[in-house]
Amino acid sequence: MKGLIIKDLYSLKKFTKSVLITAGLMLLYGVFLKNTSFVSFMICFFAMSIILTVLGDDEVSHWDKYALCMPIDRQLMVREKYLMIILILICTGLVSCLVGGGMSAVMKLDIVSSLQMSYLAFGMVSLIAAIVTPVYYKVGIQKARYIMIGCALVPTVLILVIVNMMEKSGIAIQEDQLPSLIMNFNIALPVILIVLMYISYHISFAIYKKKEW
Amino acid sequence: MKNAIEVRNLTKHYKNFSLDHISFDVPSGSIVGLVGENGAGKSTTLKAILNLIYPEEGTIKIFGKENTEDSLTRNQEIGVVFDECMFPGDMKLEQVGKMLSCIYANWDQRAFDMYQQKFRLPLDKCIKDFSRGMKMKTSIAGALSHNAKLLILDEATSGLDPMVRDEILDIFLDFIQDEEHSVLVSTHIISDLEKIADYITFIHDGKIHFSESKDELIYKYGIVRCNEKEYKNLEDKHIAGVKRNSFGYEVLVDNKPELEKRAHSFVIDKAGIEDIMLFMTKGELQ
Repeated sequence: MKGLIIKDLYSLKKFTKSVLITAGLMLLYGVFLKNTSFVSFMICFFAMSIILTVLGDDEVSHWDKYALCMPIDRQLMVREKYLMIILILICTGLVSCLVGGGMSAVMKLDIVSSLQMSYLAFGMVSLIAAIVTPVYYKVGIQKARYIMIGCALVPTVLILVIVNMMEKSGIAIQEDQLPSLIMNFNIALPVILIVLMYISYHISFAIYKKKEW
Repeated sequence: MKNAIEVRNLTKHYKNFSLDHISFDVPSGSIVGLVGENGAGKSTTLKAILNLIYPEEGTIKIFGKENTEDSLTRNQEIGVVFDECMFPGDMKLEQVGKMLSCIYANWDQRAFDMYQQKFRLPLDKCIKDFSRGMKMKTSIAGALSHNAKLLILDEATSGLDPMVRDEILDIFLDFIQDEEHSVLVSTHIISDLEKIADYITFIHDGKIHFSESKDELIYKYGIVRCNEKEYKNLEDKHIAGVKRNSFGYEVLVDNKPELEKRAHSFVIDKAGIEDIMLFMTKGELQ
């Protein structure tokens, strides 16, 4: 596994510049518009782009076909990929918290709200990663990208539709219910993500086990 | 003689192609050339040996064990080179070495550095900026730097210029000096095999036509150039292929030494590996 991780870390090195530039641009955006939540959100979503590029690089170079001729088995290949995905998600989540929280502190905005947005974005991106990764193993990187876009758009549209319908029918979440809703969400999210990643990993391995080159 | 690879009745079906009960051996200490035209089934055979595809029938043994058993230990001793370099394009040579050193237990960094210098591979360029020849040399350096006992090469010299090919073939000849080492090379470049192979296995349309010693092939096969009357006097069982032209017949026979001893008026020429392949695939059979 160490060799595979080293390979992917070398691949990720090329993103250092673009991550720093993106974080910098988001920072400027947040300062001008006095909106740190958006910044936190976008930095987390950048993780998906990094994950898909790492997976795509492997596909372009036909790496898997070669790697399986080495002393590496299929389970190790899938496990390593998931480890890298989780690492990328955690790192971008931390960067998002640092940048968003830091900006909020400097601009005297609501730090908790910014951190909450980072946490929400981390959850959403992790969910998308859990769905997209088995798709990548099944049908390749191009279709996985389309599914990723769908995964990002569909919930957004659904939430907007639901909120619109609730407003029209006069249903509203009471303000005093919000803290407990948020608390329940914050507690439930890690458990949901662990379960989803676990299921995603097993689906991916089941697909990869039967794959032929 | 022990075999490094034993393939028995290997069968794999695709929509428009099938490997049909392929059987052949790679004896230890030898170079076996797997030769055939494009689409004959060479790469499919190698992929089955390397467990990249799952055959419907047959058995494959590498170093005496089924190729599905204990692949992690077995793959330590196998070096593979495909027709393209599959290292990530953004990596540099040193990084490739570091990566492989963590994958192979018997990684030999000195050998890798030696091949880097011998092949004059640049250290400051990414793999994606290498020429095709450099990429193949990188793959070969990787395959030869972990004390492998078996090399499996799938069209590893295709698309390379003759100078580079010659350099690489000499390296394989050095590799085989150790009697524990074996090479299975798949190619359609016959001249490469004529230079280095001990055995030739010819595959056509998913079937093995022959798997014999190269010297034996050159010794026993010949091309008879004769007229119709002489052609009719040749024994059917020894005719492997026929070509008719305006001058007469060209007949591939597998009993050249016997024919040469008899009195005859026709010409018997040596048959090269390419001639044998062409007669068997394009020639008419009795």
